[in-house]
Amino acid sequence: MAATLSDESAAGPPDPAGEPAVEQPGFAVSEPAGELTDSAAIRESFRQPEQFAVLYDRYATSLHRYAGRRVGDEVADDLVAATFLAAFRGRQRYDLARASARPWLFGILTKEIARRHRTEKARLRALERAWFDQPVDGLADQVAADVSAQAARGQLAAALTRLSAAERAVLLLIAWSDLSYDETAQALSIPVGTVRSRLSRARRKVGAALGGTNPAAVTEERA
Amino acid sequence: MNDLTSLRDLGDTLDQELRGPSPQLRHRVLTGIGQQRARIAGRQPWSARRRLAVTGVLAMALAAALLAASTLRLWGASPAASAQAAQILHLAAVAAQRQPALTTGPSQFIYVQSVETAATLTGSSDGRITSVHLSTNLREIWNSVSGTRDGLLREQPRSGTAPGQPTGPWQTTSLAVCSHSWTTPVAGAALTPPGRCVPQPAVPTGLPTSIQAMVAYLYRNSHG
Repeated sequence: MAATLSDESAAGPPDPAGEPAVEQPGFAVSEPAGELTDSAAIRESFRQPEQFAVLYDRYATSLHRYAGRRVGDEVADDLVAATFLAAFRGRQRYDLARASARPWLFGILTKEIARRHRTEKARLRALERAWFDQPVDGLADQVAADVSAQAARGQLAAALTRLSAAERAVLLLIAWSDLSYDETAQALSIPVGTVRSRLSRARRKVGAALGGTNPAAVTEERA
Repeated sequence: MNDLTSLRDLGDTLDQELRGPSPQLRHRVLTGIGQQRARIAGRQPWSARRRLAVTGVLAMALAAALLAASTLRLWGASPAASAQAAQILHLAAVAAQRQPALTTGPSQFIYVQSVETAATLTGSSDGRITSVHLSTNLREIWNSVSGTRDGLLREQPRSGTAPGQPTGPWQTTSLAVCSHSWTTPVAGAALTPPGRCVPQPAVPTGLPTSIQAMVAYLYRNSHG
C-alpha cells in the first residue's frame, strides 16, 4: 500500500521513545480549557497536544517577566520558547499528582537561564554601571532619595553578580517569582533544607553589599 | 527595607523596560510543539495521517498553480523547507499578494514543482501497521491550461534525509489528454468511457473565496 504524504508528516518511522499516540491531524489550537488544572492539561496533552497551550496562556507572562528581569527582554522570548518546548518534550516525566506546573516551568526556565549565564552577568554589570552613573534631577530631597535608591540598585546588581549561580537561582526564584521554599525545592530538584541554606548564604552576601544589614535578623516572609 | 524587599523593588524597576512576550511568541511555541508532534506522527492512525498529508500536498500544488510560480523553493535556505502546511499556505498567500495578477492563455502550460514523500506501509492480517518505508521524489509537472494539450510529468528520486540529493535518474511520463480513448489527464481524475474525452483545464475555476468554503473544498478534494 502506498500513499502520498506531505513533507511535514514524513519525518520518519514511529518514534521508539515511547511517545504516546496522538489522534488529531494538524495542529489546530483550541481555546484553553478554562478550568483544567495544570496537571490535567498536561495529561490531556498526551492525546491532544494543543492542550499544552493552556500552560502557555497561564504562565508565559510570568515566565517572560522573570526571564526578562534576569537576562533582558531581548532574549526572554527565546528562553520562554525553549522552556515550553522542553516542557512539552519532557511532559511524560511530570508528576501528575502536582496540580500546579508553575514550579516545574520555572525550574526549566532556570536551567535555560543557566545556559546564558554570561548574558546574565553582562546584564547585571551593565545595570550596575547604569545605576551608578545615571544623573538625577529635581528637588534636593527628592534627588537625595533617588540617588540613594539608584545606588542601592547598583549595589544589588553588583551583589547578584558575585553570587554563585545556585545561590542566585534560589534567591531570585523566591524574590522575583514568588515561589515558596517547597516550590523552589521542586523547581530546582533539591531538598528544602538546601533551599534554606543557599538562601541564607545569598541573603547574607546581598545584605553585606547593601551596607551590612543582618538578614538573619529579618523575619522570613515565607515558610 | 530588607534585602528581599530591595530585590523586589529592583524587579519592579526592571519591569519598566520590559515589553513582555512578543505577539509572535505564542504562535512560535505552539508551532514548535506541532513540529515536535509531527516527528512522532508515525503513530497516528493512518486515515488521519493520509487525510492531512494529501490535503497538504494538494494545498501546495494549488498554491503553486494559482501563483503560476516557476519555482517553489522547497529546500536549501528556503523557510518553506521546514514549514508546516499552514505556514506554507500563509507564505503563499503573502507572496501571491505581492505578485502581479497573471493571465494565462489556452495554449500555455502551468508548471508546478513539488516534493512528494510516499509511505509504503506493511500491515499484518489484523490490520496493524508493522513497518513504514518512506521515499521522496522531486516532481515537476506541466499541465495544459485549456486541458486540450498533452502534459508532462517528470520525477526524480531524492534522498529522504537530504532532499536536495538525487538518488536516481529522472523518469518522464507523458500525460496524454485522451490516451487510449480514456480520459486520464490529471492524476486522480475519474476515468470516463471511450469516446468521451473531457478536457481537464489546469487552472481551476470557481474556487471558493471564503476560508470555510476553501477548507471544505480542500477536504472534499483530498482523497485521491
